[in-house]
Amino acid sequence: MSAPLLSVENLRIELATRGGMVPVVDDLSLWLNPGETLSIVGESGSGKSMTALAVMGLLPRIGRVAAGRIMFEGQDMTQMEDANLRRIRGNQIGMIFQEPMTSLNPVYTVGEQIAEVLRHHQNQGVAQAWANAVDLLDAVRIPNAKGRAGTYPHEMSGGQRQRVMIAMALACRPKILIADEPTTALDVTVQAEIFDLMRELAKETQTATILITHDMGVVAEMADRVVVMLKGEKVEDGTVANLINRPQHAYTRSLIASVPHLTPETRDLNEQKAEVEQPLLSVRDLTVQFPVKKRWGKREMFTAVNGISFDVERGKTLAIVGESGSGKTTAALAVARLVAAQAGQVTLDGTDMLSLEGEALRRARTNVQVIFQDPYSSLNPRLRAGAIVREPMDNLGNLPAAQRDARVAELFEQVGLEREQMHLFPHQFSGGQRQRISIARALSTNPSLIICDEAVSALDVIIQAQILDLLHDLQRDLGLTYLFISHDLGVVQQMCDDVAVMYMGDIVEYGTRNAVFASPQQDYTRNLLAAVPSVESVREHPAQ
Amino acid sequence: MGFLVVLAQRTLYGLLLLLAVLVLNFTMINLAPGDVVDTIAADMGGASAELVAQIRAEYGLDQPVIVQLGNYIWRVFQFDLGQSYFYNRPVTEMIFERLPATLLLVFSAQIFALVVGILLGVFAAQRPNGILSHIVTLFALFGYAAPVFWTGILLLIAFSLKVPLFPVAGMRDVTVEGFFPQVLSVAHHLVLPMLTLGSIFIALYSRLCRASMLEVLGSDYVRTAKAKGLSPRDVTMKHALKNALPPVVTLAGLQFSAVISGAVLVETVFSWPGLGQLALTSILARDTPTILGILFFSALVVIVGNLLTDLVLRLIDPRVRGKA
Repeated sequence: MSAPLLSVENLRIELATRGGMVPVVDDLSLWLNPGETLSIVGESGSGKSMTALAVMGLLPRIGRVAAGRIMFEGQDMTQMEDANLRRIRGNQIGMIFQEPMTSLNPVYTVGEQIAEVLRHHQNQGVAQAWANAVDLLDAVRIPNAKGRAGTYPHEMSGGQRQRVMIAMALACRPKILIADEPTTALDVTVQAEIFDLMRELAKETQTATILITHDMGVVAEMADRVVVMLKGEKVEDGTVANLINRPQHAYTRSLIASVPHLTPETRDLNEQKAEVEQPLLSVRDLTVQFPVKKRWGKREMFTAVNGISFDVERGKTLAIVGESGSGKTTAALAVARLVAAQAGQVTLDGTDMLSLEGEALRRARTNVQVIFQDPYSSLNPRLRAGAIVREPMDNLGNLPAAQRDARVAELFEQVGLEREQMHLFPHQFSGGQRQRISIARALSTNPSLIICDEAVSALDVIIQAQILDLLHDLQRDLGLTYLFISHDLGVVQQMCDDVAVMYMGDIVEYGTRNAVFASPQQDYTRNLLAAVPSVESVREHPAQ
Repeated sequence: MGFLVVLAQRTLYGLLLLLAVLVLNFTMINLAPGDVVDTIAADMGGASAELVAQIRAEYGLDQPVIVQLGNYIWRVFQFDLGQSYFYNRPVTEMIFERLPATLLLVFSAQIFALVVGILLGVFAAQRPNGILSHIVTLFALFGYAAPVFWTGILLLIAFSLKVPLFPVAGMRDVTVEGFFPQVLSVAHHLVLPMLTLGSIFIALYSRLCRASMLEVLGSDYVRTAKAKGLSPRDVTMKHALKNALPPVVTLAGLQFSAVISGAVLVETVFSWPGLGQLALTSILARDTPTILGILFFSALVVIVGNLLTDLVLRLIDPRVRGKA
């Protein structure tokens, strides 16, 4: 093996905080060989992104490399002048980021943003750079590249924008491509396409890749070698096959365990349920449309949910899965009367939800509560945690005021928080704890149905598992019924009894968990399942 | 939506707005007690009731207000703003004599304030807590807080009397002949009034631009621009600035009316032969047609200024173009 292309030696990165300089990466060493894919895996706060930014010389102002070296082609990048570093950035080392929606400049055309790199680093003329930009868009498989080069980022989908980012990063045929969670914000099928593209282009251009991710499944499918990071330190590294089959560190094992394995367990033979009870929630022909303004002020309706029907039994969980834009969240919010449905019937616990108005509707809301996706933005930052949980009780007034605080304390303990934490503000909690507050708030009115709208999608895998456990326990203890909205098939498999797969406003497949996961009837479901990255490809002794 | 469609739509809105302004102005002026005949009578040292009634009839002031309004709107649509009671000349003629001077002052002050304000804002955003950033803020606030006539007089004393770099008053040197020398002469006369009027708005624009730049500099696409290896200047001036501009341009559009009212004072201080002086004399003389004419043209300038703002915003931000 030749000398490594890039080597990081004993790197220590510190961030300035109120309490002085705090290390976020410590004593990290790794190397990257020409043409290979190295994955850095870890949770948020593990220092994996900081490492990437340090290699690019793009640490935030409050950060600095406190010790160690980053050697690229015989030079220490930490000691380089900024002007020299700029000759490497975007030229020898390209980078793509997590958020394709915000990583492109909204006021320049995508063609210009790619051409700019070529003009800057390769002194190409305007016409030549534009022609090459079109070729690059074609290479990342943007259809009608010539026409699309003149469009703006907001006119493209998330997947297409990430393709543009890739085209931009690879424009100068860099020796290294750093991809920081490049597909985390994308749907699984789009993720699979982006990975195919990255693999193919990396092979073609002999680019070495550093892939930063939190998902061991992605590591197994993409990487040659892997470095596992925890709290700024390397806990383990090695080839992917070695690490996945013989993980040494407990943390690595828990990361591997968190990857969904969609091959079903032994088939449950007692599947025919006693259909004695009325389902708690029954939805028939639910249709939701939104007006879209078209040219010349003509109104047109966009059908987000197209006459879907499903039932949720008492004490069970129905998962609605689908990609962004499939209508899954809209359908769930229509059930809770948070968006208006145009047609259909929603019966919850014998009440016709869609016909309710005014005070009766307000009362009925006690019965349905929602846990939202983002624990950072769904809690009012100016209210104390206890007040947040208490507020629904104050609004609906089912409980005498004197008993409410006691109930809040009880709820806090139920969701695994301390009583004393009632007096803290949301920003003093971690993401997982905040989601526990959201759950307590949802439970405060004793609802019969809880809608979990991507309730664990924003959390790190290990926290995610804890919250799912909590939801399980609460269901068992309190007999809760969940309508579980998610794009993540692994999570869905762990949580649900029944599954409905939505695609473009329709339910394309609907059945018990085992039926849907083990023998999907529709091509769409099969593609969706196949697109989920798994560690099976590198397992030496496949399960079963 | 096509550019021309939007232009036509906005122009239509502008015309409707102008009609509303006409009605409002007329009504408000007529709500105020007293009219030009009172002034004339006062100037004559008193007049008999018959004479007053006769003069009123002459000017059509004895008719019901609603008829006067109808007549007024009808005449305006024929580009006739009436006859000045005080100067006894057509109002349109007087306004057109003076409008170019005011337009020149207003637009040059606005552009000067925008350019300087934006540059200061961009500069201050580079090191938001640096000492230079604070100096910029202080300087801008000084311009904002100081009364415009005081700033004007101070500049006059400094740069016309102590260091005679610029002329004291007027708009051009009458002894100069030839087109280009005259243009230069006007530009020379323009400097101090423009600085004075612009200084109020520099503070607003630079504060907003600084805040807007700080937000944009923290965004993902600026990080992308850095990751491309672009120079700090390209990152700031190309990628960040264009995204930071829309709020500043929007504010500038809203400030057009404030610039015009500031111009009234500045014109008085520098004897700039614009609408401001005319406005002052006609208000004192209760010369209703002239006041209404000036208000009408001020409204027109504000509306056109806002139309320009809209069009500039569409040029800057492609996402605005998608919307009506």
